[in-house]
Amino acid sequence: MTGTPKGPPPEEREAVLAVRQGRKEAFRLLVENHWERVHNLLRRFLNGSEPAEDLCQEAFLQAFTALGTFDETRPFGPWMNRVAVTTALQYRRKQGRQVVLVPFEEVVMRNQVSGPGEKVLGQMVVDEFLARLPESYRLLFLMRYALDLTYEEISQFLAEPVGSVKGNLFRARELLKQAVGEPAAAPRLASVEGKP
Amino acid sequence: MNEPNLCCSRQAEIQAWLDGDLAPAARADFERHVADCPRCAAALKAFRHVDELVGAACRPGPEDRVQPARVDRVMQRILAAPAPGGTAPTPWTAWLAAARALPAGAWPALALALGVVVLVVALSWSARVPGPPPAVAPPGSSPGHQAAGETGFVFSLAAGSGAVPFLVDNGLPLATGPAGLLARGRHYELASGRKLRLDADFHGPFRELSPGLVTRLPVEITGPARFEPRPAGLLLESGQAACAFREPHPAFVVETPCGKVESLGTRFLVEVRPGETLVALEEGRLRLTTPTQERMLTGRQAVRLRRSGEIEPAGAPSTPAYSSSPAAAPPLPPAPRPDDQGADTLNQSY
Ligand SMILES: [Zn+2]
Repeated sequence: MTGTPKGPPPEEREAVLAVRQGRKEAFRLLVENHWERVHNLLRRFLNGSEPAEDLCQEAFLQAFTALGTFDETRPFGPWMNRVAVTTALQYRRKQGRQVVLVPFEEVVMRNQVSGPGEKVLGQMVVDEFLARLPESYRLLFLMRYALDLTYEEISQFLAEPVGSVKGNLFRARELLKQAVGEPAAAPRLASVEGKP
Repeated sequence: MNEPNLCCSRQAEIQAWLDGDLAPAARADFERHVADCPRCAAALKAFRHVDELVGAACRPGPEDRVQPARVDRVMQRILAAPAPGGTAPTPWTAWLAAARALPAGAWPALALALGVVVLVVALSWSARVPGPPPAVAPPGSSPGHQAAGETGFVFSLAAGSGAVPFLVDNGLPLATGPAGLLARGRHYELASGRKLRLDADFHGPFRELSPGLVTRLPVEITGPARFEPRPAGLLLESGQAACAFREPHPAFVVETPCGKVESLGTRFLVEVRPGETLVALEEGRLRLTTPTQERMLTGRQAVRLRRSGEIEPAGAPSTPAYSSSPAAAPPLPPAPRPDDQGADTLNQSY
């Protein structure tokens, strides 16, 4: 995890100050530096249902509009992460949908891993697992692994207690652990069937 | 297979260890145990493997790469957008700024002028709406805003509220949760020059309340403000809250450093200032409670709650001042129902 607080890169700080002084074009550097991570988050969140570019644009537009509230003595990345997650949640809310972390139900989750008798390699299990997860769980994994958000931050976004976020994430990983098998045994095939 | 993962009583600690939740001593102790326990060692290794795989699966792919054409497209939108920090004062904030510039004694007159303006705007608005009034959300019609198990008021961003990025939570953009819900017990800060519309949804037993009860109350907060959602209403540490509750509703409390303002069916404005809280009642009734006094307000009045606990009348203006400065008319706080039934039908049990 890269959660250690650092000062912002000087060129990003200068860009923020320049934008605030009216030089909008200076925002380009921030887009260039952070596009990949934000697009990754939103693409995986949308899960192929639609192209992520529009929503990604929306996230940067929101960040631009709200730049007056950004503390330029801090790094821009973590702030942008939160704007991106907020944008995703707002987008679903506008559609009348909600991203709700349903209680972990292993039987349902097992079906997300692979079909009966299916045997797949570790990385494929995980890719498939993430793609088939309920949206809230996918977002949970992304917030943790793609954005390095703290459990506290994740719990705010999902409106769930920290303990519930940790517990659900752990149980989902436990299921994956069973599915991918022992690392020492790789690259053997693993099955999700027949586990206690 | 996986037998090494079974049957060690300390495997429950693995999650805490992975999450960094163990105190240093417990962490060291568990690590010593892992060195001697092949089962825990294997489980830990497997979890790390999963974390590596998940980390890899969450990394950006080629389709996420930044491309000049993509940056150009987003920059086109940004160049066309209003400048950031363009916290252009709304008429409302202009009014506030003017109010702050006035000597304390002049504030109530202005506040009451505001009340009249709001009322006038409300009336002219309702006159423009023909036919039946828009339906008001009935109690319990907003499952999306129901926080599990919570009773009392639950706050969410009002529909169409564009203020999300301006609401700050510990210096970072607000996390409102999936339904736009604000969390109880958290302090929220609204940036200067911004305003925020909230819906306060009441959850709980309605038995003692009248059937026409409205359980979604509109609250408008004007920045710079600091507040905290509470089951009974809002804790307003600084800033201004305008409440336009014109129908019977559950008691709604605005707590301020100088005392409590309890709405009993009303339209009112609360502003927290250094050492005092100003309350302007436009219509309806309020119950005010300070550490030393309790007072009912009815009708159009303005008072000042002092840090000492005193409640002082802040005087009533003899003539409305709004007509002399129509440009300062604030936007209407959350829309009133055109067929206002008046505030006094509220259940009297409070
Ligand atoms: Zn052990």
